[in-house]
Amino acid sequence: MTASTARAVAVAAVGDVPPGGVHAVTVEGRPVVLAELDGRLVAFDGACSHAGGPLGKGSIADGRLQCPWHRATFDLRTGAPCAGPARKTLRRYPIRVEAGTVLVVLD
Amino acid sequence: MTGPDIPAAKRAGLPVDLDRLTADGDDWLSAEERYALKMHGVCAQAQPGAFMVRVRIPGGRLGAAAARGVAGIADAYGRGWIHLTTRQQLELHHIDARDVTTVLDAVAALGLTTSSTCGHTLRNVMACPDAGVSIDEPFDCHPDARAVSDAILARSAELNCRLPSRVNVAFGGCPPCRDHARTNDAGFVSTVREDGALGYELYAGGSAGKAPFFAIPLAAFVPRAEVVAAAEALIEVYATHGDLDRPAKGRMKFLIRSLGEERFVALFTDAFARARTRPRPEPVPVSAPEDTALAEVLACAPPGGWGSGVRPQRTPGRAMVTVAVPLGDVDGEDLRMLAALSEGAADATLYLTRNQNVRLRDVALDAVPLVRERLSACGLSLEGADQAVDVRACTGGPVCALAITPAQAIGAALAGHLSMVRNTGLRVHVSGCPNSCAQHQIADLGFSGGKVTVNGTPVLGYQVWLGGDVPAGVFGRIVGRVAEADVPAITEAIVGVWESLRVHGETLSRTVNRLGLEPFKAHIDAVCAGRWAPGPEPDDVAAAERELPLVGAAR
Repeated sequence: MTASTARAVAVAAVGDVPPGGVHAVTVEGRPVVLAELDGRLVAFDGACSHAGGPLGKGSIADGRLQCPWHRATFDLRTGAPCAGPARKTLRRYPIRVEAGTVLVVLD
Repeated sequence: MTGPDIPAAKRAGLPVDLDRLTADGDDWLSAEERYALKMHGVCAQAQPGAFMVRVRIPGGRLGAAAARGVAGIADAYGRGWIHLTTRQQLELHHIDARDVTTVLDAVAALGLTTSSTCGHTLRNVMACPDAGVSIDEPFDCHPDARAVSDAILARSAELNCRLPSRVNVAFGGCPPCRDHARTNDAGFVSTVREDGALGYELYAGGSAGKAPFFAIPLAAFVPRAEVVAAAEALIEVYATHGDLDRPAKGRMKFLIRSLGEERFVALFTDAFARARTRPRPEPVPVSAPEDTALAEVLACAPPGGWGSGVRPQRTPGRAMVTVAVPLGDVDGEDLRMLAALSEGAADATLYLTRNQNVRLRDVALDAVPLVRERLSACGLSLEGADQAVDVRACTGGPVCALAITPAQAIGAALAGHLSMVRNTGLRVHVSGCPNSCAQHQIADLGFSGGKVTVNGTPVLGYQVWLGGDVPAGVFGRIVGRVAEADVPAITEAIVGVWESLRVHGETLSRTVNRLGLEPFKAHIDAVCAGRWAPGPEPDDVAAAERELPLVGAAR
């Protein structure tokens, strides 16, 4: 059995993520984007899987996150690309909310 | 920030302290030092502190081990993104200023170099990716392309201070590559003389850009043993007589215009005579296709048959397989997969094409389905597959510091557009600025990004080029300009009228050049009234008139 190395890192206050919007954070050097989906928070890679664009500066519409650089668009439920130039799914990070603080779980 | 004084930087010897870049980042760099970084293949991105590093791949041949190494570098330093260029090279982006030298060292450790891939240098020497196995080339031109690249690159420290602008060199063997060679400053087109001697027709002064120009004939036959001497002589004439002080007019095509063709040819002839007297190594033996083997080659076909993505080569039972890479973008995972595929099913080399795709060679015919399967698992496909629309795009904005528009966004939008899906043979090239990294002038349908005026309002958008047909010796012409949001609409209009007017399987370019632009303008006007403006941007009309080439120009 392999010992788990997962650790939760506090990255933001719940209020930092605007309703229907995104919030960019850096977790141990990695860009991560927090977004609100149907009242719940989700976290994905903050660099677009196409050209590394800043998803933390992206926009959300219809449950999809769009990169501001080349309009690569990702399904916020899965991170899968659904329009634009990206071909690869965004990595999704598990998150927890404790006492109003958002924690991102890293491997 | 003001632009660099490039002539002054060259006269100063192009100094830049790479160790300080590593230690202190890039805030201290002067504009001239930023220009000097280009000699090392390092270009500032639009994002502060971030750089693009371009890796030179002579003839586009990238060994599997080196490809795997590049993938690792991209993952470690470049957000995993690798862009394939139209000059058969690789670009890494998002390199932090302090990591630049580490990346250069890592590239060198793979046996590759970034030297002279940007700025006014001898750019990557291109060669037909089919060279050595093609069934319709005179002989294998790759060893000579490599010899020219190595010889000129060895003198880059001296030459880069003297070259008025960049020098693009290409070697053509198969018919499409032969045509393409004439869009380069130096085009070597392989040929066999009546006495059986192998050599090249040499063309000079071709380029795209705002004033596209097909190369002029310079020498009817350069023997293989003298090909390096010819390249050196041409570059010597250019460096000696070109305009170092006006980089915007520095390209070889402008020198030919100012001197006149006759004088330019005479200068080359003299320089070539001198260069030929210097001792050179004997050219390495090369292979050539044999007519008698063709029947044997075509006696067997791969499962699914031949097509643009699976083509015969001169070894019976083997195929060249072309992987369509959307917009020339791969990531580390893709590149490792392609490297493994080349080792398992091909000759352990990736052959980068000017269409920003990857070719595998020596694939056993019965292994083609496996290749298809492996590619499909990564979301890739073979060229010519239903979903493989041929859209080229440069890096564009907001990554490239020179770009005006996000070329890849439009490229992706067009790649999924119904008008493209209906016509997968269409060649569509999107450049994010007039510098034409995606060579919009040679496409059926080309777009060059910039500020354009539509209905009297300046907007970010594109000039739309129609009818580029290199085999016919024709560059595209500007039919009009549109805002970025209206690119799909004008594309639908153009493709629609072409579909109604084409005859006998004509390409879009052939239809345009048969009928002229007027039918297209009329139809666009009917469909896009108020959302487009005919003709080039007024500023560009003036520029085009000033730069009107003497010969071989776009019509």
